[in-house]
Amino acid sequence: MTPHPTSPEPATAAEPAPGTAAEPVPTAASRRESVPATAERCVHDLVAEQAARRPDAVALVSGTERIRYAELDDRASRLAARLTGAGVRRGELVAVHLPRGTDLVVALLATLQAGAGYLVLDPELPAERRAAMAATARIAAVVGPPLSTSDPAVPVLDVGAAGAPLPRGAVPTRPGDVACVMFTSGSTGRPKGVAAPHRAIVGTLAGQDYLPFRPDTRWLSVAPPSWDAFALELWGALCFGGVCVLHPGTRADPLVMARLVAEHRVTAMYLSASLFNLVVDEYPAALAGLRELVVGGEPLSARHVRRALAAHPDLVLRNGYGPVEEMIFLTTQVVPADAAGPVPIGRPIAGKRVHVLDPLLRPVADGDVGELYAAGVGTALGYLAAPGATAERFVADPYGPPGGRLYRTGDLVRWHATAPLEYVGRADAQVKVRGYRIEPGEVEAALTSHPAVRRAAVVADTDHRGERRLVAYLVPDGTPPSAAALRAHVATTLPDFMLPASYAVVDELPLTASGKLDRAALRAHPPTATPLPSTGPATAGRHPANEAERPTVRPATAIPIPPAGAPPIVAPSPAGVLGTPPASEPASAAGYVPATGPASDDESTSDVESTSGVGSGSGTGTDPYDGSDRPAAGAATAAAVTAAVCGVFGEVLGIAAVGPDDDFFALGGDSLSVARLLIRLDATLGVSPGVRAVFEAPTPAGLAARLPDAAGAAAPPVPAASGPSPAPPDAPGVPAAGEDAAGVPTARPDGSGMAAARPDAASTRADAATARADAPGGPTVRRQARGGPTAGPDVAGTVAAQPDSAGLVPMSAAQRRLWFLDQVDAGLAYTMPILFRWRGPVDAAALRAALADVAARHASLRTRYVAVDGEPRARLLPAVRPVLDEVVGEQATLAAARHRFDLAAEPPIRATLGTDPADPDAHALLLVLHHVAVDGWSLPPLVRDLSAAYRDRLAGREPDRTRVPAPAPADGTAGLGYWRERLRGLPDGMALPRRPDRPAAPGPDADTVLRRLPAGCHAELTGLGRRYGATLFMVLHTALAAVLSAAGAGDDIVLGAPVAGRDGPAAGDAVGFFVNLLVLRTELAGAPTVADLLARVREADLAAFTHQDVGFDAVVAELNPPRRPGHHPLVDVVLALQNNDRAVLALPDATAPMEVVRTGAARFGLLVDVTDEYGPDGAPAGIAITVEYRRDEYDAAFATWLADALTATLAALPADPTARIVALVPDPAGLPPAVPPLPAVRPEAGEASALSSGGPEGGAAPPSTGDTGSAPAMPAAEPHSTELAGRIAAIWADVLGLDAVGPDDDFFALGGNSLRAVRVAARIATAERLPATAQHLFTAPTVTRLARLLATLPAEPAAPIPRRPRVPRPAARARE
Amino acid sequence: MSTNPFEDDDASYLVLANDEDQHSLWPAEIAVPDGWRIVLAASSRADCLAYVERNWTDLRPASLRR
Repeated sequence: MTPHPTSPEPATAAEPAPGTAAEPVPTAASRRESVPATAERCVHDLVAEQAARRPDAVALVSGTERIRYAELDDRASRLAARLTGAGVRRGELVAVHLPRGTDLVVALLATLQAGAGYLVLDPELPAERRAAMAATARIAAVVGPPLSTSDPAVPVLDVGAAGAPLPRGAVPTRPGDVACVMFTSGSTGRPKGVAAPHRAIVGTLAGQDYLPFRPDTRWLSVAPPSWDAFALELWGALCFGGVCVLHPGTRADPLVMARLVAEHRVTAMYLSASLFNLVVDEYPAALAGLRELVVGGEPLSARHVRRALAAHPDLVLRNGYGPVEEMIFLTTQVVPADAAGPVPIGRPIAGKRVHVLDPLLRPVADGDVGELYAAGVGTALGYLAAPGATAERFVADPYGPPGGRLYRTGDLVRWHATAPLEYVGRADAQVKVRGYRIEPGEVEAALTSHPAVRRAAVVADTDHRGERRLVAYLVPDGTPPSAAALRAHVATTLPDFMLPASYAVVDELPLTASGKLDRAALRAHPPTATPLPSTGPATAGRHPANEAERPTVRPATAIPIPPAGAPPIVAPSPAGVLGTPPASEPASAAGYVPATGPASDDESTSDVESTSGVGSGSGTGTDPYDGSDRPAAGAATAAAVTAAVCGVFGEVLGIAAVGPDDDFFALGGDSLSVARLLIRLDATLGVSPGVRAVFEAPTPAGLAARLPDAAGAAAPPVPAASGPSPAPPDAPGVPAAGEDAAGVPTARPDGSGMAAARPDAASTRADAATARADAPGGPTVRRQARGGPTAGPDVAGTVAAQPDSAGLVPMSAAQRRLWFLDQVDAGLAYTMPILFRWRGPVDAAALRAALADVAARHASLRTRYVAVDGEPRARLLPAVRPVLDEVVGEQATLAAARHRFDLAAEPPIRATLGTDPADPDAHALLLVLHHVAVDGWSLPPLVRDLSAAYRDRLAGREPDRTRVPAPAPADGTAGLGYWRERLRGLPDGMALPRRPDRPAAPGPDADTVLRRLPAGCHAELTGLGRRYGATLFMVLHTALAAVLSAAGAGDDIVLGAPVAGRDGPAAGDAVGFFVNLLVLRTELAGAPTVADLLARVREADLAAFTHQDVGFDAVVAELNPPRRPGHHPLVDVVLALQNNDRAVLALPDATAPMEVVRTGAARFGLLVDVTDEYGPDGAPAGIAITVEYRRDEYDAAFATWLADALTATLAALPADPTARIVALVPDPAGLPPAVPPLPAVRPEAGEASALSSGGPEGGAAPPSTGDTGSAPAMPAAEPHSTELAGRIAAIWADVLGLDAVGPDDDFFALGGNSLRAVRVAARIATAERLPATAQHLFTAPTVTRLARLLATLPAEPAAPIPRRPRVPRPAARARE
Repeated sequence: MSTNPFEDDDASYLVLANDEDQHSLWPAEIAVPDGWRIVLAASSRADCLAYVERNWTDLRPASLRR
C-alpha cells in the first residue's frame, strides 16, 4: 500500500486473520511529534511584543477610530486588572457581550492577559441561547452590558479605561491554557462549546507560510466574532504588527466591505464560500486591491474562482479547510486562475497532521475515500461541560506520540499519494449553510419543542440560485402552526442562520429500523409536503424577544459619514506667507467616499436628529418618518419607491409577486440574500439602507420608508467617535495624516474655525462645476458596474483597453468634448490649479520622483492627447516624468497657475514647489492639472497617492506603482430613450436677465458673488428635506428653480448637475475624467407650493439619477439642439453641490489641505456652486453659495440679485411648506428683461474678428454694436472667395460623407458637429494655409459665408491647428 | 447510516485514558494506541459515554492543573 504522505509509513502488515483486531502499525519515525517552538506562546504575549516593538503603529481601525498598539495594550491591561480584581482566575472563562468594535478587541485581549479564556456572545443571538452558552461555560465574569438571564453573582464589567494596569506576567498563563471558546451546533439540540488553547491560535498563525503574517498585512474583519475565522482576522493582524479593520456589526454588508477595503487598503481577507460567491456574482469591486483572499467553510466553486481571478489577476486566492476543533485551517491550497472541477482542499499547514482512515482506522489506499482525522497544534481541549461528546470526537491517536489525540472530523476526503486532498462530503448529517456548520438535529430539537410539532426533519437543499438552505418537514400534533409562529418559536433559541427557509407538513417521516430518522431515505425521496400558511402581519423586527437585550452601549463602529469640516475657500492673500495653512478646520483625509447614508446603526440616526435641531421645522419632535405630514404628492412617490423595492425583493428571492408588507425573511430570505438585496437596491435606486434597516423593517413598505433616510444624508453625519484624526492608517510605523511622528493627533481647530473662511471676500476657486456634486438621488452616486469596474480598461475614460499599433486609444465622448473645447481656446477654464501650503521640510527630488510614481499608477496622467486629422486620439505612454519646478516666492508659485497645457506634448499634470525666501521652512506646492485627465473626484486619490509615494521615496522604500484601473465611462446609450422623451420640447435656452450688450459668444471671464447661510438655516433645510424624503441637493434645486422662474425663465426650468460618473466605491481610487452632466428638468406650472415643487423635483431628480449612465454628449447628439456659439448645449445654468471630500497632502511632518486657485475662467454661463459644511461633531455648520457668472453675459446686478434671492428663498422654505413657492422669491426689480441667449440664427459675420476671447462652443464675437441682431454690411462677393468656397465645399463634403454641399447649406444641419468642425478647420488650414479654426464654422456655418470670412484673414505660413493658443490673457483676479 | 467505527450503537467499546486524564471512546476491536490505558472494559456505547460523563470532570489536561 502506498504510504500516506500525511501519516507515517505503516509497516506492511499481513492481512489480519478474520476475527482478530486490525493492527495499524505506525513506524517509530511518526512518534516523534514536537510542537513547533513558534506555537508554544500565548496570544497576548505576542501582542505585547508588538506593542513594545511598534507602539505607535495602528492596530485597529473601526469607523473613524484608530487604536495604536500601545494604547490597545494599555487599555486591555487596565481592564485585565479589573477582571482579576473581580475574581477572575487563570483558566476561567469570561463572556464578552459586545458587537464587533474596538471595545470588543480590548475586552478579548484583557481577558487573555488576565489568564482567562474569552467567549464572545454575539448580541444578535437569541437571549436564551446566550444564557445557555454562558451557563455551559460557567463564566466568571461578563464584559459588556449585563445578560438578562445571567447569574447575579457573576460580575459584570464595562470596558472602560479606569484603573491601574495589570503588570505584565502577573498571571502565568501557559500556551496550553484555554484562550477562547467557540460554540458550534450540537446534534442533540445543545450547542457545543469548543475550548481552544493559546497554542491552537498561535500555532495556526505563527511560523506559517500560507499567508503573510507581517506588519504590512492589513486584514478586514468581517467574520462573526464568535467564530474561529475571526481569530484569523484579528490575531493574524495583532500578533504580527499588522492592522485589523473592523467591519461594523456582525452581518457582512458587501457595500460596506468594498468601501472599507478601498478606503483602508486592506490586503487580506477571509470569506466563507457562499459570501465569496455572492460577492463575485454581484459586487466584484469589493475585492479590488486585495492581495490575499482565503475562502473557506464550504466547497469552493471553481467557476467563481475563475471569475474572481479574471477580474483580479493579482489576487492570490486560497481554499482553506478545517473544523473549528482544529482552529481555522487544517489544510490550504492556492487556487490557480484556471481552476476547474472540485477545488482541492490542499495540504496540511505547519504543525498540523491529517490522516485519511477507513472504518478500521487504517490509512486508505491512493485514490480512495476515507474519513479525515486530524492532530497537531490546532487541536482543541474539547467540548465544555460535555465530556462524553469530547471523548467520542477527540479519540486516541494510533499514529502520533503516545497518549496523543486525533480529532474525528466526520469529513470524507479522497487521498492521493502525489496530489492534494479533495473534499468529498460528510459522513453524517451535518451540513454547511452559508458557511455555518449546522447539525440538523439541533434544529429538529428546536422544532419539536413546539407543542404542535410531533416530529421534525431538517435537510439542506439548494435553491434556485444554487445556494444552500434548510428545509423543515414537520409531522404536526394537532393543527399545524403557521410558519410565522413556528419561526418565531425557534428563533428564541436558534441563531438566524439556523432557521429553516421553509416549512412543510408531511404525514410521516421515514425511520430506520432502530426508530431514528432515516435521512438517506428522506434525501432520496423527498415527501409530498404541504407548505405551512406563511405569515401574518410582518414582524417588526427579527427577534422581538431580543429587544430588551439590545446592548445599551452604543458601539463605536458607526460607518463614518462625510467627515466633518469642509475646507474654507481661502485666497492666498497677497500678504500671505508661504507655508501657512489656512486657519480653520483642515480638510478630512483624502479619498473617503461614503457609500451609504447614515450608519447602518439605526441608533446613530436618531441621535443625529436630536442633536441637529432638525425638529425645529416640525416643532414637536415627532418622528419625521411617520408619514403623517407627508403630502399627497409625496405619497405617490413613496408608492413608486415601494413598488421598486417589491421588485427587488422578488428578484432576490426568486418570487414572482411580492407585496409591500411581505416579510423578507418569511419569504425565505437569509443573511446572504440580505447582502444581495442591499447590492440590488443600491444598483436600482442608488441608495442602500444598510444591513440593520433590513432586519428592522424587512418589508418593501418598511424599507422604502427608510430609503429617504439614506437619501437624506446630505444631512448631518453621525457624530464621529472620539479618537485620533480620521485619516486612513498608513503602514504601521508611519504616522497617519493629521498626526505627528509620535502618533499624537495634531491639534484640530474646532468648528469655530469655519469663521476664518471669509465668504464675502472674493475668493479663489477652481472650476467648480467639476467638483463633486451631491447627486440628485442621494449623497453618493454610483452605477452598478457592467461586468465590474475592474473589467474595464486601463486608460482612464476609454473603452478599448489596448492601444493600437501606433499606441493610440480612443477617448470617451466626454474627453473628446473637453479636448475640443480646449482646442478652441477656452482659456484657462479647463485647467485646475490646486495649492498646498505648509511649514516643514520638503525634499524636491523625492517629490519629483513621487510625481512620476503617481503617473505610473494612473493612466490618465500618462496620456497624451494628439490630433490626428482633426480627430483627437489618446496616446498612452508607459511612463512619464511630470515637471516639478522649484521657484522662490509666492508670485512665482502662483504664476504657475496660468500654465496652459500642450496636451500633445506634456503630461496633464505639472507641479511647482515654492519656498519663501524669508522663511525657508515655509513651502507651497502648486499642482496644475488639465480636466481632460482629472475631475474633482480624482483629487483625493491623486493627492493621497502622491503623499504615499513621497513618503516612500523619503524612506527609501519602493513606492506602490500598482496601476489603478479606471471605471468604465458613461458612454452607455441604454437610457437614451428616457432622455429623448424627458427632454422633448426643451425650451431653446433659458430666458434670464442678460446684459443687453452681450456678445453672441460670451467669453469665459467670470466673476463671483458669495453668500452664506448660517448653521440654523442649514439645519432647517436638512430637516425639510428629510420630512419630504428629499436630499439637500433637491432642496437647493427646488429653491433655484423657483428663483429662476421668478427671474423670467418661465415654468419649464432646466438645470445641469454634474455627477461623479464612477461606479463602485473602489472607483474612488481612480484618477481621470469621468464626470457626467445630468440635465434636470422640472415644471413649475400650476403655482406649486414648496411641498409640491419639492415633490416634483424629487421625482425628476431620482429619475434622472436612474438614467445617469447615458453620457451628456450622447444626449446632446440625440437631441441635436441648435448650436449656439459661446453657450453650453442644453443647459444654461448649472447647480453643483460640493461635498466635503478634499485632498490633503500628507507629508511626514506636516499636512496641507488643498486650496483651490481661481483661474477666472468659467465653463458655464451661470454656475451656482454650493458647499455644505459640518462641524467636528457632524452638526450642520452652514452653507456657502457661490454664484459664478460670465461677465459678458450677465451683469453684477443680476448675479447679486440671484444670490440674494436664492438665499432668501432657502431661508423661507422650511417655515411654511404650504406656501406658494414663487411668492417666497424676492421681486426682481430693476433688472434687465429676461431674454433667451442669442438665437440660433447666426449674424452675418463679414467683419468678425478672427479670434475672439473664445467660448466653449467657439464662435467669433461679432463687433459689438449694441444690437445683437443686426449684421454689418457684407463685402461684395469676390471670385477668389467663390473658388475658395468651392474648395471648402469639397472639404465639407468629404468630412461629412456627402456627395455635394450647397453654398448655403448649414454645416450642422448637414450632420456636422463640433468635432467635425475641428477636422474641417484643420484641413482648410493645411490646404489653404489660412488660420481657420473650428470657431469659424460656428460663426459662418455655410460654405459661402465661411469662404468670405476666411478670405478676410491674412494668410499665414502653413500651421497645424494651433495647439498652443495665443497668449492667454492675464488672470488679473488670481489674487483675490 | 454511518460506517464510522465510533458511531455504531450496537458495537462494543472501551474507555481509554491518558496521562493527562483525557478520556477517549475506543472501538473494542481496534488495538489500543500507545500511551493510553483502559479504564473501562468492553461495554456498550451508551455505557461508555455515561462512564465518561461521570468520571471525566475537568477538561483541562492534568499537567496544566498542577
